[in-house]
Amino acid sequence: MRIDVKNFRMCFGDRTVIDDLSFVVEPGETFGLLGSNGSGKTTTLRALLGMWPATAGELLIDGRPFVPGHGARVGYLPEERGLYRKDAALDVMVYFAEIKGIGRVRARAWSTDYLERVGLADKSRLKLEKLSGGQQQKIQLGIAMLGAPRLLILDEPAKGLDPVNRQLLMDLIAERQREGATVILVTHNMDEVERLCDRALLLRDGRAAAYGTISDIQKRFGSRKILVRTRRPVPESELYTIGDVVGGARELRPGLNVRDEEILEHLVREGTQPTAFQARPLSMDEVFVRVYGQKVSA
Amino acid sequence: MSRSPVAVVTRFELARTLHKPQFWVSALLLPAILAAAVLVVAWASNSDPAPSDAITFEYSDQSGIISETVAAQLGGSPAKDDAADRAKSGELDAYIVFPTDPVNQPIKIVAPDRGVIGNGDYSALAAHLFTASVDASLGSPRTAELVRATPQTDLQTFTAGEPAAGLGGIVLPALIGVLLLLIVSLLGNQMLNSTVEEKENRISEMLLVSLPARVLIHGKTLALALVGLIQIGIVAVASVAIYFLASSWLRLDELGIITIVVDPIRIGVGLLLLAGGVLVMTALLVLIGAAMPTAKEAAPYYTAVVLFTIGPLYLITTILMNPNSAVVQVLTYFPLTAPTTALILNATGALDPLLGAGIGLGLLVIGAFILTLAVAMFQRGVIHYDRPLRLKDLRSTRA
Repeated sequence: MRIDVKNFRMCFGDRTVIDDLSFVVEPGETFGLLGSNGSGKTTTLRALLGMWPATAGELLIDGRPFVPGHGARVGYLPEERGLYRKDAALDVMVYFAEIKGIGRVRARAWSTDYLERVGLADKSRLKLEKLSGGQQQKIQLGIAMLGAPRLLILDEPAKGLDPVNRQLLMDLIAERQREGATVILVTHNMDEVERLCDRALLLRDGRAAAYGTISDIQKRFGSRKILVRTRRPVPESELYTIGDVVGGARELRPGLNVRDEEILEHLVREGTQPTAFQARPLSMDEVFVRVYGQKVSA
Repeated sequence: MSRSPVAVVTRFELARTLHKPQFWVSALLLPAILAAAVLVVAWASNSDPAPSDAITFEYSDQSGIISETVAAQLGGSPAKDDAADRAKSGELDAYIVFPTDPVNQPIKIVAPDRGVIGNGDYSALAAHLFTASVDASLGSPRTAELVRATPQTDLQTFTAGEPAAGLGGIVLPALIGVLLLLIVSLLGNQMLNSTVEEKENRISEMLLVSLPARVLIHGKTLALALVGLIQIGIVAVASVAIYFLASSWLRLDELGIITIVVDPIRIGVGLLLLAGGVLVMTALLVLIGAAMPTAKEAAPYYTAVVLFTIGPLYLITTILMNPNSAVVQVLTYFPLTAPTTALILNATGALDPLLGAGIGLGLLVIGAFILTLAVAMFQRGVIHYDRPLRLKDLRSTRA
């Protein structure tokens, strides 16, 4: 499924939450929707899924505004999520499957298989309130995955999961990817973004701060960092900005169009006596801090 | 083969309600109370009245009416000087003083305490002695019977030349009014929780990606209607069963039960009013549930709706005696009080059937409108987890 968001604007009264946002998610792509708290990610998803009408612009899924109903083949795990606490896990999964248009027999079979896979088969008849938070999370994820959706929208899917279940989540997402589903992932975990996403959009104050492939975004915010060990202090220079000391090495952020060799020559010329010099690409975590750290410091 | 989404929602909501013990407790509570009441009445009517302990009494008669013969037959004798003191100390069962004018002045009795129930025997004895003495003074049992008798009348009333249903015509339309009150008391809370639960437990967003809010609300409303029918059915079946099982014990023939008359027009109007009333109340409670973030915050509004619905019962005397008064007119046309008021008026034949049908249809229209508003509120209220939704929120995202 293809997503087209064109000139999307969302206002609540006098407050503009999203302003002139445009992006595309290609069919079969895994797309990261990133941003700090309150940057407009969840609002964008809710508008995309028709829960809120956009103030202006278009939000299209396969060329049409989303209408809930049978055959939509969209799986959504919202940020604010819960379940019918007084009902049995299996009953709730079957109910959600049926409202997605899956027949009762198939719904029961699929749900039973899923519960077995995630280690909850023996708890299928228990009331959900008897399950732990992580176990309930797995049921919610299963509900989002019901019916092999062609579009899977996951808002903070790993929130509250331990490392083992986080790995299980990654496997389930990877499975949907292999089957050609389009995945939109909202997360604050940049490792997940680097590992799973083809492209990403960084929202800041309701506007696109960065948009493109992961490597495009990394390049835009300084493609790399240089870690140096020197016997004498590193002097100030126009070639780089001096960062923190990480693991005994000083971090330098190269200026625009400055080559590594120029920086090394400069350090030698200035008598710093370098003993180690290593260029590394920026992680998405670091990109995130660069984008949103400016806002915090401002 | 998949079902329609409305049917899926209805089935799920119905099944989870029927699995709750609270449902069966509330459904069976009324029949249980009814059965208990019948058993008590049956036991009381079948058991021989416990013979009262004979009361030995003394009396003073300032009226000159009391017959010494009658008094002696009942265990009494004229008072000696210290009768009052002996009665106070318990040596004498009772000392009764008949005043000069027993019709307008109280008969004074001094006696040892026999408890709230037992003390009634003293008054009964004094009254019996008085009437028996009067009868004796008349000299003829026939004269005494005529003096005490209340003349009977045989009233025949007509509506448009046809015999009117009378009291027998009230029973079935009044039962429809009872049904409304049963639905309010048994289902009101469930109507409210039907929507607030999804918000409180953060389920609504997950649901609304698969089905429109309209389908969800309609499915839930249908499930509530079915739950209501099941509860009413349980109460009805249990009541009929209790009636037949206990009819011989209760000696219903002695109670002079009225012959029930089926008046199709009044019953039809009553059912229309019931449907309209239930729809208005359901829609309103669903709306409150959709607008409020938690059941706790919705509770005061729920109480207000229920109070408005049952409120006319507190003014039933005015409604019955002065159906054309301004107060009753307001109650008849205000949507929340209209169902109960109009059902009372309809049961007693004080509501024009055309007007009643008009009110019923009006309630259905208002209920449908409120339900539409509830759907919009639920759709928009999906993400208002921390504060009540306001009407202006419905258009807040527009430029």
